[in-house]
Amino acid sequence: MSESTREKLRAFVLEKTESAIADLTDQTHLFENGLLKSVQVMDLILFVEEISGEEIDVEGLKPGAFKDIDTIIKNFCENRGEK
Amino acid sequence: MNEANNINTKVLDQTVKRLCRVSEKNYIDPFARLEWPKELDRDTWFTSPELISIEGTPLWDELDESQRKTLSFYEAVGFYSINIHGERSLIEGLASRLYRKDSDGVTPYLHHFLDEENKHMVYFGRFCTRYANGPYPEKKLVFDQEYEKGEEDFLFFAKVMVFEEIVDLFNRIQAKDDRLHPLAKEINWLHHFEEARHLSFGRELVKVLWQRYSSDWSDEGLKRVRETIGSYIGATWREYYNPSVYKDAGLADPFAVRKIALAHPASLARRTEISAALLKFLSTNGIVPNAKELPL
Repeated sequence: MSESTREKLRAFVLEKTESAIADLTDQTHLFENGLLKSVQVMDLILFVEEISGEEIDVEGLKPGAFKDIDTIIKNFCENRGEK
Repeated sequence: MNEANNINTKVLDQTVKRLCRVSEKNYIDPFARLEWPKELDRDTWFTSPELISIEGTPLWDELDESQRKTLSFYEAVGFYSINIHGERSLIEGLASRLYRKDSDGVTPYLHHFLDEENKHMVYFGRFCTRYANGPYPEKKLVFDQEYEKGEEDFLFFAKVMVFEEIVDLFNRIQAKDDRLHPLAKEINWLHHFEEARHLSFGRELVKVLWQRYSSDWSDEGLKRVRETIGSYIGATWREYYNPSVYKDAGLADPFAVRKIALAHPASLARRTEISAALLKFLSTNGIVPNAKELPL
């Protein structure tokens, strides 16, 4: 289950990025390293909502909440049993 | 704007004076202008059917007229929500540019711009809160970024122009659509009535800022600006495909609906048609030379 969520997030990043990725890990900084552009954060939020099944309340959130795949899992998927 | 770097600001200066006169002459009280019924007759259209995000796709064919009208209501709430969030950011940016040394020439019009954008938020916000569960939340975050000289100002007004050019096409079509509920039609008309001035101002200011600053940007900076505008146009369009709208309208699997609608040739054709004048402006003025090739 958890592996599936990570796999889906990795697949999302690989599909959306326009950068060449040598090694995408769950600790790779998605926006800081330019894998995703700031305008793609809406697509990422909607994707996380889709795979977690829960709406994300964006008010008050900082971009760091979506820093990397580990952070996204911790912030938005752990209460769904994802680790 | 002041004349600097031999940039001719005559057209912009004349535009500012003319638009100030028109705004003062056509001042609208947002609280008195519209009639707000206690309840809306929902057995009608709130968005022109041809502008509904899934129109032209097999998903649209599966809906009966009542379901289509329900979707048209939530698409209107989604459209008004996009406007509310866009205008809130716009107001923040405009306010921070009032009476700045390098923008004193346009400050008189920025007062009208701010006032009119606030009024638009009153219309949109009142509709969303009175007849729905409030505006749909914005799914955006603000990232810190380093800019070259003039880049932040240019991108701010270029994004405003992109946002308003797309919105205004929806307004122009729906302001004339007698199938719409009178309140929805009037909101679109009022928005277009004032946005037309903002667009006129925005195009002239974007041209001046581009001429003033872009020649001093590094190759990397220029590339970044062009990519940012291109990405922003695509992202702006993707906001029009809102899973929360589809969910409230009773459509099954709203995320799948979004993907199908975004990918369908009919909706791509709609985005292309509505974006045509904007892309032509960007291309003609050398801002994004290959604008017509941008993915929408």
